[in-house]
Amino acid sequence: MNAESFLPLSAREFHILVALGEEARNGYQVSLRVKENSEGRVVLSPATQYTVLHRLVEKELVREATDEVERVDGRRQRFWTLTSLGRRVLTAEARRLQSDARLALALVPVGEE
Amino acid sequence: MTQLDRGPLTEMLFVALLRLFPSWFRDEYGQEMRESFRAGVADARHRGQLATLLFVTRAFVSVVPEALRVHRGPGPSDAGPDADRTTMSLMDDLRQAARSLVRAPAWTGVALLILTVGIGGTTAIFSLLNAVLLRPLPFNEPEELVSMWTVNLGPDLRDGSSWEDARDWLEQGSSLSDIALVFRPEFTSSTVTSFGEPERIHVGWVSSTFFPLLGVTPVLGRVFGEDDVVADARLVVIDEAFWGLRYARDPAAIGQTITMDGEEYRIVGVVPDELTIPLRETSIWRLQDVRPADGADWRGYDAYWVLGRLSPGTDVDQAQADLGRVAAGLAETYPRTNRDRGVIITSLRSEIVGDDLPLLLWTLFASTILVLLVGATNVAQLMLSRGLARTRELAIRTSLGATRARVNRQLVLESVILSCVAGIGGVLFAFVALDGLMSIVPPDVPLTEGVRIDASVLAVALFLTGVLGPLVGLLPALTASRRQVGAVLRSTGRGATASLRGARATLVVGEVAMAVILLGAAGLLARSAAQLRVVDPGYHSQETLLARVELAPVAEGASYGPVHDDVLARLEAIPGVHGAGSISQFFIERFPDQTINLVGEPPRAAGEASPRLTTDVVSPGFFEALGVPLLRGRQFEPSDRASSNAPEQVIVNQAWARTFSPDADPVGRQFRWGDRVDGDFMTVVGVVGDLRRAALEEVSYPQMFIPAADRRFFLAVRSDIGATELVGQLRAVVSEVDGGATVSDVTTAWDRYTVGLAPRRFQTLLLEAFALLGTLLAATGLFAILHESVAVRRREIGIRIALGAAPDRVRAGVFGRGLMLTGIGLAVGLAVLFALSDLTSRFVFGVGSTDPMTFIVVTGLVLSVAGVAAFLPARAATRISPSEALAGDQG
Repeated sequence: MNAESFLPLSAREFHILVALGEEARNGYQVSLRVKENSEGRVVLSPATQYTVLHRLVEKELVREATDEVERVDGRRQRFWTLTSLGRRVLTAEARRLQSDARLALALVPVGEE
Repeated sequence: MTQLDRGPLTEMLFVALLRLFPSWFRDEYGQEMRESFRAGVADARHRGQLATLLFVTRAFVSVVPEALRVHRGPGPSDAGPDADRTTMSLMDDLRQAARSLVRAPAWTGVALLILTVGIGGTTAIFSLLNAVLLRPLPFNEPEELVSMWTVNLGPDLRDGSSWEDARDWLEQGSSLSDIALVFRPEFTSSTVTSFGEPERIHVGWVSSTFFPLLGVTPVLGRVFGEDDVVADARLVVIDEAFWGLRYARDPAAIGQTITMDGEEYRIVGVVPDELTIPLRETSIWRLQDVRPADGADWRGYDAYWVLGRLSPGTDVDQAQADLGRVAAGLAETYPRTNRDRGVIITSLRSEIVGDDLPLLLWTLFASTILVLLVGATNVAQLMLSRGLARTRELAIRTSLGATRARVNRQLVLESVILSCVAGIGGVLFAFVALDGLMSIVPPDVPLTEGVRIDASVLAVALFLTGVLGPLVGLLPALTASRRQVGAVLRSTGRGATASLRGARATLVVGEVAMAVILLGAAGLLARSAAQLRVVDPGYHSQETLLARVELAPVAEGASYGPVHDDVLARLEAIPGVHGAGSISQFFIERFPDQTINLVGEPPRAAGEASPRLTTDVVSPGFFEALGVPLLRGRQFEPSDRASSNAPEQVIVNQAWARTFSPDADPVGRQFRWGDRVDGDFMTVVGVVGDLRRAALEEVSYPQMFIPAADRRFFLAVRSDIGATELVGQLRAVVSEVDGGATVSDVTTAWDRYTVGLAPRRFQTLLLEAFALLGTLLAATGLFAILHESVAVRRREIGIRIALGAAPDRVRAGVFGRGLMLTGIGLAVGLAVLFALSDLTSRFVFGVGSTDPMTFIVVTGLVLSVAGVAAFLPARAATRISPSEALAGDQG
């Protein structure tokens, strides 16, 4: 499938993909990492997080990581990781953002204030 | 530690909110969302209360839009970019929603009023509940603090404990880390003479461990310590109020002396006012050396209330089991003093708050929640009908390209705006309501000093706001989204109504059921209050003035009898006074703990529980003075008066006669104290009617009276003079006879009962108000739904009338539907009341918790109110003119 067709990503989707791109994580770790990576600009409440995560699973950008198993209080924790499609979409989105940013910096005189 | 930290509660609410998601989504992610929430709360808590509040609010509020999103299902609109567009258009939608609310001011006003009063009222009641039941006591690690009493096995009555017993609980048990002893506070008032007129002040007599155990930090000076326990230490600590009143907060107060009961005590420290132990009014604490000085064994000297701190990791139940074992061991080792005696341990908060108050406050809180729910249901009804009226507007917007989700979002946003405004208004209203509430809260409800609108109260208001808004808007939004745009545009409106009827009928049934529950509870309370009003306390309580008197000490061995006689004679000489008497304790302030052994009865078997009774010292004319009926035998005569240590004649009450002499005439029966079988005995000379001296609810128990005169006593004066005037004369008489005497606690007996009845009256009053409000709201809801169903069916009804349907049948159809909905609601409400009868039986008096009379009245009331609410629309239906109805629909 063409990775370009998924672009652009929302900020929440982008940051979740980044967090899962680093390593497989469980839900709570994702929300902590997203908050950290975005310097507090993207905060995921439990409901929002799983709705977005579900959407990413539906689009096959994210899958459950069956090899990562950790037990807390006897219950298996669910981990998520990127699919190869997800990794390609994330790369494409990063390139898009990069070229857009380069464009803006090249054409519009912006400097340090 | 506040409400916010009560993880399980917020978590339960969060899980409940998750039900807004479709079940497949919950099955897939429910557990994860829950764990994420829990971890988030735990994490936020490290960052403080505000962070927790923010996290919880955000988590709650975000559930609604996300759930809507999932309900909407995947589709092209869910592609990535939409999320950004969504955020951009949110402001537009908010503006749109606000505009549409402003355009319907009457509608918005009613909805706002209902929600504001509901949120405000609930918040006000919660702030009371929070202060009394939830907020931690102002001590170090307050949840570890416990209270212990000795109990008599058999008749489960509490009693004080001896120092020896308390020490053994600490040393032989493993559940306590420390203890403190307080002399039983009912006996520790002192006459203070340092500040002019002699004054009776309550003084806490406390062991040196008392302040360290509670963790009270002095604001000035120091508290008592182990080193202070030396012979004749005579030290006191005072509280800030007393320090301000008597020393104008001068630091030089430390080291000064206070004269109490003729002895001087040195002030060593000042503690904060929030210390309300042992009594709320206590403002002086005196160091009490609790260890018997001579090394003698004082086990059996049951003088102390014992406070303790649990060892880390121990809970009250474990401590109860542990101390129960220790007490059983003590009963074996010291049978003379400890046989049949155990220990009961409760949390300090339960000790302060008592048994009845938590139920009372939770009932009130639950009732306000019910009223709020009825109100919110009405607002949901209003939203539904408004949505209906705007069906075409919304359909047009949809056909012009607004997504269905977008329209829904506007509906939800409207309700969110409504509830936010109502939330702010509600908090403002709560401040006002709280003032009103506090003016009717009975004075003996403890810990009310701490009632205020604080962070946890605000959190509750915020939570109500956060939940109510979406809930109120969600149902109309979900129903609206199911409508087909084309159908709506083509139809005359009726098709859309049908799909709503079920939802609306359910709302009305729910409203009626909630109103029935409120009415039932209020009815039971009102009936109980009426029963209490007719209880006869056994004497002329309304005409009787009572005053506590303490005479100046007389020489060793001299009698107080002549002083009593002089005071009583002078009082009786006042015109309008019908009688005056004295009694050692008028109001029962201790537990019946005495036993007797009747002459001529077989001695009790070892271990057999014996009935307990109280004994009071009275003046010879006491019963005549108060109008207590003499049932058998004779009254006391002046010559009967004895020393209270060696009485010969006694008068007993009916309960005594029933208990100890059920078959034989009690007059003439002889008995001795305790288990004694020889020595001096006493003889019953008369039987008087039962007196209710503690509370009107009280069950009579054996009481015994002996004719004597003590230094401390109550004067009881029956007269038809106004209390204010009599008080002055009474004080004058006492000080004429004995210049060193003090008079305090002046009250009429009836007022004293009223104080006892106050919590009950408070509860009844509020519940009645809530029930009334709930019923009115439910009736409005019923009226609205019927009125609207008639309005919407105008065309159909018009045609039917045109085709010759009898107006009676049309009317009966509308009316019948109203009554049917009411009937179902009534049945549900009554069923809930029956199910709750175990609970309600705890606060009724003199009626059963499923009192048929109450339920019949409630049923009748609900049916008649519903009848009126249903009649008006039914009548309107028959007045529809066919031609108008048909013509009106052309547009």
